[in-house]
Amino acid sequence: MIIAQRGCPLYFGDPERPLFGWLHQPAEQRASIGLVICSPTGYEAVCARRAIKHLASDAARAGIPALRFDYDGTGDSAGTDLDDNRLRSWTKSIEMAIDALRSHSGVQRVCLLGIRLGATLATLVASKRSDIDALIGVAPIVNVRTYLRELRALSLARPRTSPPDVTDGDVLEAAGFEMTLQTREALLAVDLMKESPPPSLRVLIIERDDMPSNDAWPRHLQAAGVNVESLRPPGYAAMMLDSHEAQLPTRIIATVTEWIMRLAGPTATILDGRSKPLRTRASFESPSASSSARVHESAQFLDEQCTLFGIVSDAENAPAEHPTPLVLLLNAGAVHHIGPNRLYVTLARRLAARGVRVLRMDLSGLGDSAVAEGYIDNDVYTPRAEQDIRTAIARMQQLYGASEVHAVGLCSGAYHGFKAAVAGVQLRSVVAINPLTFHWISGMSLAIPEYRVASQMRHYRKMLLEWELWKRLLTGNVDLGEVMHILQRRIKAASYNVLREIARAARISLPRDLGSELLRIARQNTDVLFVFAQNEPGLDLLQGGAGSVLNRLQRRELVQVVVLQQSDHTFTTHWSRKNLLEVLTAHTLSYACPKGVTAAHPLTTSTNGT
Amino acid sequence: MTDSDRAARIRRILKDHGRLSADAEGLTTEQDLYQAGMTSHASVNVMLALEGEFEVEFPDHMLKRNVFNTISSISAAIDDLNGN
Repeated sequence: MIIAQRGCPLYFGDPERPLFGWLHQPAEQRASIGLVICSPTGYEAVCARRAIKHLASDAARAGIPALRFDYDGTGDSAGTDLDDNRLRSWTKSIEMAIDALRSHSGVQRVCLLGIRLGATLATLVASKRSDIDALIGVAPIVNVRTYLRELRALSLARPRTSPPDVTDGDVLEAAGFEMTLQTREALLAVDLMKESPPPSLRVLIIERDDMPSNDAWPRHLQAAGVNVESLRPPGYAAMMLDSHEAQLPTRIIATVTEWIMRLAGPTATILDGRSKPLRTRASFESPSASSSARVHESAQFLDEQCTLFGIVSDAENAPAEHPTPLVLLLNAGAVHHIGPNRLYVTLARRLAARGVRVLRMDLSGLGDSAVAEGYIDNDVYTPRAEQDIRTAIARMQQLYGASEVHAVGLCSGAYHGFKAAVAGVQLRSVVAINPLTFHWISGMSLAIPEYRVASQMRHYRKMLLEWELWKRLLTGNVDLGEVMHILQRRIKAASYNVLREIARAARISLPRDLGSELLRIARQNTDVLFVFAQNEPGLDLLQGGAGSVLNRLQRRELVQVVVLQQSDHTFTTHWSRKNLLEVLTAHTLSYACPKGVTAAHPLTTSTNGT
Repeated sequence: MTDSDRAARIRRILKDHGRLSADAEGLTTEQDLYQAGMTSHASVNVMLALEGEFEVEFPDHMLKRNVFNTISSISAAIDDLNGN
């Protein structure tokens, strides 16, 4: 039952366009009301996801069945941001989630909890139905125009990397998520100040703790006869940080849970729906225009304890035990298994349509995998990763067999894939995208980590010929202490690299020697493809750390290094993700079907070591 | 309001919302805030807080990276919005 509280994955809704979610069932149902959690959209959904997972678990622990889910076109559900009628699809998703919760938990009374735009959507649904008992809005977006300005600011605040002429002017790209003009216009027509929820609805508003209050909406609801409470427990700003920094909003979770329990009153007779089996396999349209094959996905626990989780994508007609190549997608930072900007979902469905089985998994303590005993939650560089990768591969071999395994990861995922190969995990290839370190030491200082030293050096080199730098220097607007520190660190790293080169020539084994690690991987027949966005500091760390070994292995085609121009660390723009997807697809298919496409692309640069 | 008063108010907002790796109080007016650790995500909250603090609204043409790049550029934008 602990597992049920932690959640059970399920697909629900239209089988042709399935939605994905997690149902958290209480061990003992003490509330006659269930909770449907409506997440924010876009990048905010990624930030808030950990908080939502814990909120659903804690609600179940308190006796409240809870369902969290991905709207149509988001997360692990079907569709994309660019599909038509997003607003209608999102509200319809909430309605389907309400039905799924009722069907599987037996509750008749429902409380909707929405965060940011999720609160706005939940209000729209609650205003049009008479069967919603309560609504909780966490930092609700009342003024959609302001929200769209925030998205626009987010979009324009990113470093200029992609060429301006390739962006579709109708699509607003904000931190890797897209919103069409149609969606923006539909949202602009939403005005919560004109919505009149039924007076029977009980409303709790959790205000954000980092901005001044605005009581216009609560007053509007009160005027409509709705019973409203507004609270401001701390935790909103911290829970909405980038996913590796996001904190659990324990006070908000406690406040919400207590409020629902008070509302629920004594437990009513509950129609028990728990015996209904949960759907854990679903069929999706292929994301590739060139393929009409549908793709099957199944939600899988990868270990006996049901702690390690992933989603397997397969071609629709793939025989269950047909050993195809397996691609393992590893968490990028603390982003859950959908990958940065949903990259892994697109890649998995695209490869599956071409006959490659893909597992996008969460390492222990990340995404939907539970933290292992004795380890830290949300630890991006978890020392448990190698063991998790071995467990996942063993489970996949047991279920399907695999002719060969390829590990693909971005940032910390690149690190873990690479280190798994170094540790002897049998991988045919490792694709390491934008690694920021090759030697992580637990507790390593993040104040000025090695990648920042490399990154700053790149910045200094670029700025050296620019008058702006000298102006700042002469006017005292440069932190000379930091510059000296960076230079000192760079000189020290360069000296170590020379020493390692000498030691390798003398066949002396030094610890943390990237060159020796690459040689070890090459000897066990694992190819390595490094993919770097332009200006990524990891490329300097690779070239400096591996020295002449990199050139040698590149000449023997055991290691490839590809630099993707006009891209950033997480491939934020649609355009740069498309290029990355082409490289990754070509790489994988070159093993699956050796006469397949090659990785050549007009905006890639292969450093060939000659 | 003097330039130094405004810079002090901007620094306070950067301290509360900028998620800088450096101490906001120690920032010079020309120091690059993105280099000092401010992410695109944090810059949006800085924008909202600035709008609240100075009772202005940054128009679309000002929603750019280089407007929020330094204390000096933010100060100039606010000046501009106040018609000075």
